[in-house]
Amino acid sequence: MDEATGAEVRRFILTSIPSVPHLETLLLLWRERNREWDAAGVAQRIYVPEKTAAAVLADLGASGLLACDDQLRRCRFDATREALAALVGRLDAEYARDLVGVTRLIHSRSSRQAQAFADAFKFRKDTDHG
Amino acid sequence: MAEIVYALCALTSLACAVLLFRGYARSRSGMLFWSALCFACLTISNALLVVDRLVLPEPVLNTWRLVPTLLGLALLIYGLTQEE
Amino acid sequence: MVSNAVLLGAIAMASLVAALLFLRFWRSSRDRFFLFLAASFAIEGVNRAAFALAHERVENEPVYYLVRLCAYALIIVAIVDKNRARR
Repeated sequence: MDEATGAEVRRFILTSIPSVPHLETLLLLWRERNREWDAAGVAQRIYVPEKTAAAVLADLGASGLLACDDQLRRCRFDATREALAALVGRLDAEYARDLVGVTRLIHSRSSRQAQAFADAFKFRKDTDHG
Repeated sequence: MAEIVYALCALTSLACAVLLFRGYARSRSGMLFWSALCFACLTISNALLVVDRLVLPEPVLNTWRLVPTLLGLALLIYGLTQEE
Repeated sequence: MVSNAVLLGAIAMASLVAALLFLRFWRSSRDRFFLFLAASFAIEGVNRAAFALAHERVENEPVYYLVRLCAYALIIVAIVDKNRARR
């Protein structure tokens, strides 16, 4: 990962993307952001069990990355959040360019801990992405 | 001079402890909790060093300062190496 | 006094281990925040070891507390740098 895209995308992965299905779901809903999705639709597209897809949608909805209904069952990517859309766009490009690197980062416990530790020393919290 | 330096060290450790506890309150990460305790221990140790030389005529708190320091570092190492 | 030397030795060792752990965090995150912390704990580790080996009480020696001042100043630098380097 090069330095420029690196820092921000990297940080986003470590703080907001707990697993590869989370990543792929977010990217799918970002790519097709003019429609609403449910677990069955997501499961079919990213090849995971429907139960997994439902849990992932609920996670992404609860963390505020997706706009979902009250039960966190039907979600969509809110295209009006331009900062987040741009960030996910960069993440999409990075994933296409360096699939192994991004996957490794998602699974890196040490990186995740380092990020959490360093973030604790920021006076202002900036966990939302636009 | 030494008192001022040790007081500054105590304040720095205290700031670290507060920031880490705040981080722990937000993320509930065990690592942050243990690291926060570490800096709390270092704060106590540095504060004792100031008390030792400002208040007491003879330095008697030697061992009592070293124990929290060692305990703090042990907690830090535990926190930084544990599985989440 | 012997028990203090033992405690100081253990503290020196633990500081150096903590420095190595921060160095590992730096390797995986490439965040220089951890370089400052690693340097701080390494300096304190060496300082404590020197203290343990010294025969006399050296806490009043400027060298000893000025080195500690450096170690803690590095922590402050790390925190300030973390909050200044913003997009």
